Amino acid sequence: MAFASSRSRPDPAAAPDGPAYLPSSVRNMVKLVVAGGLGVGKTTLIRSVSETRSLHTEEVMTAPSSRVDSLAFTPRKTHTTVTMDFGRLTLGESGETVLYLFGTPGQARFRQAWLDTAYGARGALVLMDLRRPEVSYEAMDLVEESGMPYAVAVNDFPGSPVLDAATVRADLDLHPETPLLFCNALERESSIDALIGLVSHSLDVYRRNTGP
Amino acid sequence: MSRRRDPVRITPAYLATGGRTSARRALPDVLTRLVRVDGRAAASLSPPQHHLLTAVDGGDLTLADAAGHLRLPVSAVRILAGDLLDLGLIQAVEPAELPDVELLENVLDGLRKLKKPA
Repeated sequence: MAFASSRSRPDPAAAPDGPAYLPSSVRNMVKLVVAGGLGVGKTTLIRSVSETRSLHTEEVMTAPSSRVDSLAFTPRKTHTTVTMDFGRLTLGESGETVLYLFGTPGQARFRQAWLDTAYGARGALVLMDLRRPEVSYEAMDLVEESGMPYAVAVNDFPGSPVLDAATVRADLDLHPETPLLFCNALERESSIDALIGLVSHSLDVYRRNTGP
Repeated sequence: MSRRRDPVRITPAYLATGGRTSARRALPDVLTRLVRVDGRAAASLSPPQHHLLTAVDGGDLTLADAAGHLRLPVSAVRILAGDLLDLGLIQAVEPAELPDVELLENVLDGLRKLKKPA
């Protein structure tokens, strides 16, 4: 199923190096962040839902920049790079709204790069691999610090421990309002379900903050 | 797996901006839309500035998409875009017109429609 639906989308190979221009119909672009440690499935999820090939850029952090914190961990390097993957998805028949998904490692030492990328995001999906949940803790801390609405999505890996939601919530010390979702980032439908869970929550938060 | 040589990047990031690491213009959102201003001729641009302008000549691009295309860090493209803004060659447009709640309602609605079988 997932393969059949991906074939019907525009062929990313059609213009491998052409710029990803915005159609003139686009009026609103919305950013969501996909956060989590290395190897938890951020790029997989972005690719499973994106209509364009996912792009990536490398942010270079050099000594003369203000990103001194990145050097504290690697004192002998004069620069380091952090990769950001992103993809986009056109929503609605009119094509007015485009959803962008940005994946960033969200390590504390790349805090500034993370905040730069996440600026203006309406929500974050924190991906979790239950075989090694600790790799996503730093990302979760950054997301919490940023104050944006977020949901936690457990990505289903082969060999993942089968834990009930209450146990996972307790282990991750989730706020009662923070949605806990389960997904398989390889599958488009499942990834879209996770995004629906996140956006529903974001909408609740924004509605409450806006007030009647 | 062999790594394909980069076909686009023409200058290292730190040279692309002439050594500058901060932008004169605030373009905080990576989804800021870069739009070409018609009829303005470009004079004496640096190669990276020219490269960005040529890309925007073809259509509207977000900062992030421009960075992906030019194979430069967004932070570098932000600086180049600021230069082109100062020269009146491009405009920077906010990512969204709608207020947050309406925006998210549209996204939720659109995502739910994707789930309906065609």
